[in-house]
Formats: sequence, structure tokens, C-alpha cells
Amino acid sequence: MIMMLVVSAVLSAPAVAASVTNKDGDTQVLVIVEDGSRVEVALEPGATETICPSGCFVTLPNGDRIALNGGEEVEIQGGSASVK
Amino acid sequence: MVSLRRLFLSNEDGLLPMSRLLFVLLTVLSFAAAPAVAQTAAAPATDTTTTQLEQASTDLDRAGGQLNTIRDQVERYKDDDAQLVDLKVAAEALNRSILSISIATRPRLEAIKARQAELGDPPGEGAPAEAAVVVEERKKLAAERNEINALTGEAENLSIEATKLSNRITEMRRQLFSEAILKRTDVNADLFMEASGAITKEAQTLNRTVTAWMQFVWKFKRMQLFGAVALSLLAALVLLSGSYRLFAPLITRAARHDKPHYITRLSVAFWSTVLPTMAAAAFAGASYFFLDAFKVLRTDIAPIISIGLAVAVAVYFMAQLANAVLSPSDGHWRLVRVSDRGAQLLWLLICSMALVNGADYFLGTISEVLGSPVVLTVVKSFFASLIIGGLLLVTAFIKPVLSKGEAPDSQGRPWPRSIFVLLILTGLVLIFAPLLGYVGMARFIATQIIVTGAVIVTMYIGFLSGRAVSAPSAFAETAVGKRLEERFGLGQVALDQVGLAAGLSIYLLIFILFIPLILLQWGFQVADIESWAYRFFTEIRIGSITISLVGILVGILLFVVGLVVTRWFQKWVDGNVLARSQVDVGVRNSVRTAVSYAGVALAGLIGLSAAGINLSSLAVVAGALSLGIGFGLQNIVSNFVSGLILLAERPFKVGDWVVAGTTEGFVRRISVRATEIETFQRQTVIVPNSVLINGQVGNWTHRNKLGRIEVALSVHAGNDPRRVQDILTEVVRAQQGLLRNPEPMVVFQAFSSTTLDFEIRAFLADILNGTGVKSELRAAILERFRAEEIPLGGPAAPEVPIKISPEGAELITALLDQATEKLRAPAAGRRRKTANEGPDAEPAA
Repeated sequence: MIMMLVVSAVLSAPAVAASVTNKDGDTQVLVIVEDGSRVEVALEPGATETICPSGCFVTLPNGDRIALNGGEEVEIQGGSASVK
Repeated sequence: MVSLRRLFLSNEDGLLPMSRLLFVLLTVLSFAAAPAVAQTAAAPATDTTTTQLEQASTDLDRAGGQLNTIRDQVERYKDDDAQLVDLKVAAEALNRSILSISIATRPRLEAIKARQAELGDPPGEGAPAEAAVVVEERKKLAAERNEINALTGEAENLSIEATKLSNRITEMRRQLFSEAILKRTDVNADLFMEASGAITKEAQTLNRTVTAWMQFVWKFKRMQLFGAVALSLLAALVLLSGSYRLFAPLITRAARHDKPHYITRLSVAFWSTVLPTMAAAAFAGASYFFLDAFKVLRTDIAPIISIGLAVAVAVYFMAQLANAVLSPSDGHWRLVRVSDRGAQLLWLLICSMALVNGADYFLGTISEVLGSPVVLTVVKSFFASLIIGGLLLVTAFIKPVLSKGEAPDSQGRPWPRSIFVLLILTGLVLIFAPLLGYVGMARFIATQIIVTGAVIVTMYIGFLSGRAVSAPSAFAETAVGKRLEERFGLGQVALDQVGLAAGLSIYLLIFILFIPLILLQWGFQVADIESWAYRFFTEIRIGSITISLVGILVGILLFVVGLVVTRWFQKWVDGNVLARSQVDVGVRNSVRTAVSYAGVALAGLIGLSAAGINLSSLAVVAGALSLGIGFGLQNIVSNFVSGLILLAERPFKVGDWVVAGTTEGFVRRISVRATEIETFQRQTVIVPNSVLINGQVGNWTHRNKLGRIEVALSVHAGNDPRRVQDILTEVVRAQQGLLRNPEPMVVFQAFSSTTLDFEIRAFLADILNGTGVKSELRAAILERFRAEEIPLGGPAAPEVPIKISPEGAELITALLDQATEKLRAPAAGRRRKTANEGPDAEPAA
């Protein structure tokens, strides 16, 4: 039991919330599905927002949908996202 | 509905959640591992990626199927709380796996985007057309991208549904609970008529079932039955004898005449409740497990056996606890101040209540198993509540209370008003609630009072004993403390520390043992608590920050391991490498210190990253700190850097004799912030490193220990300076410990009318011996001077030369003669009386 917890903790330790940064000149709107609800998040140019601490789906301005585990750093450029 | 069975026989279904948790974990792990596989697979060929997408698609379909299954099961088990908990866990796991499936497609999406960016925009109007291959690829990429988006959209919807289902389950469970408690049954004659009809039927069915089962067991499973009982007895005996051996003085009440110490009473009460109960629970669990494993149980008998065992354990626990607290037979061991008679009555009442409540659950389960009408269960609980309420009322009227200092066998007084009112009110609620039809609520309250009360009392006793054990010098009084003292010769302080640790671990034990018990009592399920504990240990979320307790513990553990490894490595380097290669002590010290700091820093980094703290976020902290460094931490940082310079440059090493400002002494320790200098008076002066780097530091023993000593001395001015100088040179040459090269020197420094001043300057191989050599040298010189009769000082009174004229001299002589004549006359008169005296008495002129 303890071993299992330890292993899972080591694996899940870096699971902090994901952050999204808008590198575009315009405000971008993301649709985030988290905990069973759909939320629209508007990102000002240059703003960084912390989203989905426990995994979520994001619909990007260009129509792409990506799933996030939490912990990623997402940059939005030209409506498209690059995940780090 | 609260279930006693779950409380005490969690082994039986406790195994299930464990395996389920493991399964969930494995699924999550396998999905977590999937992106890595996908990444490697995505690059080489498109074939694999399409199969990967297909794989994701089938996975999603399967997840959808699973979701439907779970939904169906939720409908089917909408009245079964335990099943609902499991289903909720399954739904949450499914949600995670859906997310993982979509995450696995992300690398491919990135790859497509990259490729599309490489291809650039399609040629505009009028531009030359592209090659057919490129157009084809463009189409294919776009199609694939759309497919991935569609898949992710599907996953999104599934995830929403799974979350909704999970939330719905929570809602259903809440409703179930409130329904069970607040359900109202009309209490009237019909109810009892119906119940009495049902009870005879149930008795017959039970009789038939049990007899059939027993016959079957006796005929076909005799060996298995005995085996199971023997094995479980063995398990319980091992546990019991082991715990007795370990905790013997803590559980048994030695017959004594005097009153045992409070701690002894507390710990005996606590352990004599907990350990035998655990043994009993182990026996019950093992019996059930073996009976089940040997296929002795049948589906209709198993729940009855299980609840029977659980109720037996619960009642045993209650009786044991009441016995521990009230000690009806021996007033010395009683924890509360009640009379002998009161204790006996209270014990009886508590045990009866526990028995009635247990019987209620036992009979209720039998009815459930045998499929009797619900009214029967209701009526049973109705009577059980009435009886318990009545017992509470009786309890209110007994007179057990003693005041301080009263003998246990004296007559007690009634309860204090508040307790009396509380008992009466609870008793009345337990009587009137079922009469008004709220049987479920009455049953819930009765169970809470009995079981939760008992658990809380046990916890409280445990807390008290923990506190008592950790009180100053209390542990040394206990039997364990005495044994430790004898065995390991621990001192008072060490024993105190052990006591503190023991107290804290008792607290921890209480939390781990009893909080889940109470939660189970309040209608939570094992899986709930498991997932809470899991979440508590792995992710505590505060805002957007997730803290993982296990992660932090692992971090600390790794840090400690890192420290130990560093120590070991440091020792190894120092002892096996540096010592062998005859490196200078200063270098050794520097290397050792550097290794230790590097090790600590490394261990710290490893620990931090294991604790889940992102190192890049530390950069932010460092950035913020740099401002602070500019102001407040300036000194510390400057000292720190100076310390590093000291380690690298090594202007002095440990053991050197240094002079820094007004401080003079030996360097004892060079650490990164400050250096310890021990003065000759054994005062340790801690000098900040920056002072040592910025200021002037004298080091007597920097490159070597060679040093010069000076001995100043004076002799009487009447001596011949050359002779004295020769003698001194001889003595110095003969002196042990002084170097011949550079040659010692005797300097004639000054002379005056009274003294000739010399100074001896000689070199020593080790300046640390200077004082001793100086003292030796002085002694040798003095001895030699005395032997040579060289006066060190002049006569006691100085000789005063007087100049006088001849006339003056004559005058003075005449005056002296005159005075002598006058003195001589009386002296002559006296001599006539003693005529025989010799002429030697003649005074000198």
C-alpha cells in the first residue's frame, strides 16, 4: 500500500495546474471542459491563466481540441497552441 | 444506512477496493505511459499513426461502453450504498482514462501541425499549382487533423457524461442516506399484526436454512469447518500471545493494594481495550475468510455469519471498553470516579445497550437475507430503540457519582444535572421517535450513541494516555521505560525523548485507527475513505497549487538519504583518498567541506524535485530574493561568498594560530558563514568570514610553523657586556628546541647607569612551543648567571660619592672625635663595674 502510494506520488507529483499564455495580439477565447462543465475563458493578449488542475479538454480558437493532463504549459500563437 | 457489518468486517470487502484501486492505478499508469509510446511511434511512419488513431477510437468506444455499463449498474444498485461507492470510483477512473486516451493523440496533432506549417499555405489564385503529391498530403493531413479533433470532441462529451454520472451517484447516495434516516412508518396495530405473522414464518425459514446448512456442512465439509476454525483460532492466538508478550504490563491488571498510577491505569485501560478487540476482530475476520475460502459458507448463510461475527466483535469491544473504564470489580483501576455499585450498574447497562443494538442489526440482516417483509425489520428496530431508550432512562436514575477522595465502596450521589437532563432527553427521543414512526432515525441515533460513543471514549482514553506518557519524566516511570533504562542504559533526557515520541505515535495511532471507524459509522464507505486518504496523501489542492504529502515525505526521505550518502562519501574521500595521498590538511578540510556542501545542495535539489516543487518556480523565488539580498541578506551572502573564497584560497586552516583584529587564537572550524577561533583562554570567537577576507589576518602557522621568539633580560651595569653576551650565546646554543639555522642572536640593546639590556632572538621549528622554550631558556640563563656570579642588580643601597674640602674634612673629623669622647665616658664608668671584660669590647674609632 505504502509502496503503491509512493510510486503513484512520484508519478503524479508534478501534476499541478496547466497554464495558458496568449502570445497573440488579440484576445482569444478558449472553451474549457472541466469537471463536467463547459466554460469559456477569454485571454487578453499576453495574459497567462491557470486552468484545469486535474485534467481537462480545451477547444482552441482555431477549432483544434486538445486534452490536458494538468501541469502543461500551453502557448497560444496564431490561434493554435503549442504544449510544453 | 449505517452498516455495522462494514464496520467490523471490512476485510471481507476491504480486499475488493484494494484490488480495484490497484486496477485503476494500473490503467492510469498504462495510459500515462501511452503518450511516450505514441511519440516514438508517431515519427517514422504514417501507418502506425493511423493505427494509433484507430486504437484511440476503439479505446474511446470501449470507454463509452463501460460508461453505459456503469450507468446501468447505477440504476440497478440505486438502493445499495456500497455498490454506488464502487461505481463512483469506477466512473472517476473511466474519466481519467478518457482524458489519457485524448492526451495520447496530442503528439500526432502536433506533428500534423508542424508538417502543415512546413508545407505552408496552399498557393493562391493565379499561382502555379502544386505537385499532386503535395496536394494529396495536404488533404490527408487535414483529414487526419479533423479526425483527431472529432475524436477529442467525442472524448470530451464522454468525459462530461462520466463526471455527471459520478456527481449523480453522489447525489443518490446523499438521498439514500437521508431517506434511510427520515423515512416514516405508520405505527399501528396492523404493523404489529403483520410483523407477528412474518416472524413465525421467518423463524421457520431460518430454522430450515440453518439446519440444512449445518447438515450439509457436517456431512460434506466437516474437515474444512474444523480447519477454518482451527486456523483462525491459531491466528488470533498468535496475535493475542504476541501482543501480551509485548505489552504484558500494559494490559494486565496486577492485583495491588495501593492505587496504581494514573498513567498505568490509563494505558492499561486503552491497551486492554484495543489489543483484545483487535485479536477478536482478527479471529472473526480470519474465520470468515477461511470459511469462505474452504467453501463452507453458502450464499444465504454467509451474510448471517458475517454480521454475527461483526456484532460479536462490536459487543465484545463495548464490554471490554466498559470494563476498562469502569473496572466494576476493582475500584483501584477505575478511571472515572464512580462508586462500586454504580460501576457495576453502568457496566451492565452499557453492555445491555450494546447487546440490544447488535441484536437489532443481526436480526435485521437475517430478515434481509431471508427475504422477510420490511415491516419485520422495522418492528425489530422499533423494539430495540424502545429498549435502548428505556435503558438510557434507567441510567439517568442511578446514583454513581463520587466526590474526590471518597472511597469506592461508599454510597454514590446522582448524576450532575446536565448529564441527567441529557440522558433523559436522549432516552425520550429514542422512545418517542419510533412511536412517531421514525424508526430509522431512532436506530441511527442509538447506534451513534453506542458505537460512536465507545469509539470516542476509547480515543479520549488513548489521547489521555498519550499525553500522560509524553509528560516530562513520566515515561521513565512506566514499565517499558524501566526496561529500556535497564537494557540500554538510557539517560533521563533520552527516556524523556523516547516518551515524547511514544506519546506522539500514540496520537498518530489513534487518528489512523479511529477516525476511519467514526467515519464508517456516519455512513461513509470504505472506498470513500480510501479515496480521501489517497487524495489527502497525494494531492491537496490549494488554489492552483497541488501539494502531495507523499511527495513531500518522499522528498524529505530522499533528502535524508542524500545527506547520509554525502556523509558516507565525504568520509570515504577523506579517509581513503585524501589521507592516502598525503594531501595537506587544509586542502583535505576544504575538499571535505566542499563535498559536504555540494552533497547537501544536491540532496536538497533532488528532495525538492521529488516533493513536486518545480525547480523553475524556484528561479522566481531566487529572483525575488535577489532584491532582498540587495538589502537585508547582503551581509549573509557576503559572508557566504567569503566562506567559499576561504575554502578555495585557504589563507588559514583548522588548527592555525591566527590573529584577526583583536582576536588571537587557534582556528577551530571554517564553515561557510563564519569561522570559529578559539582564544588561548578557551573562548570561542565566531568571526564572520567577510571580516577575515576583508581585514588583515595574521597567521603564525601559514606555510610553516617556523617562528622567532624574543627574550629580553637585563643585568647589573657593573658587568662586562662582552662576557655576558658570550655566556648568553653559549646558553642559547645549548638550548633544546631552538634552531641553529637561522642562527640565534644575542643583541645588546641598551645600557644605563644601572642595567645592561640584552635581547635573545632565536628561531623555533614550531612556534606553538614558544612559551615552553622561552621559559626553559630563562631558567637556563639564570642558572648560568648564578654559576658565573654575574649580578643581575646592584647592591641594596646605591653608593653615593661625596666631594669634600680638606678643611671640611678636618672639621668633620674633629666633630666626630668629640662625639666619640662623649660616648666613651659613660661607657668607661659602666666598665669599671665589670672589670674583667676583654679588650675586644673596645669600640672601633
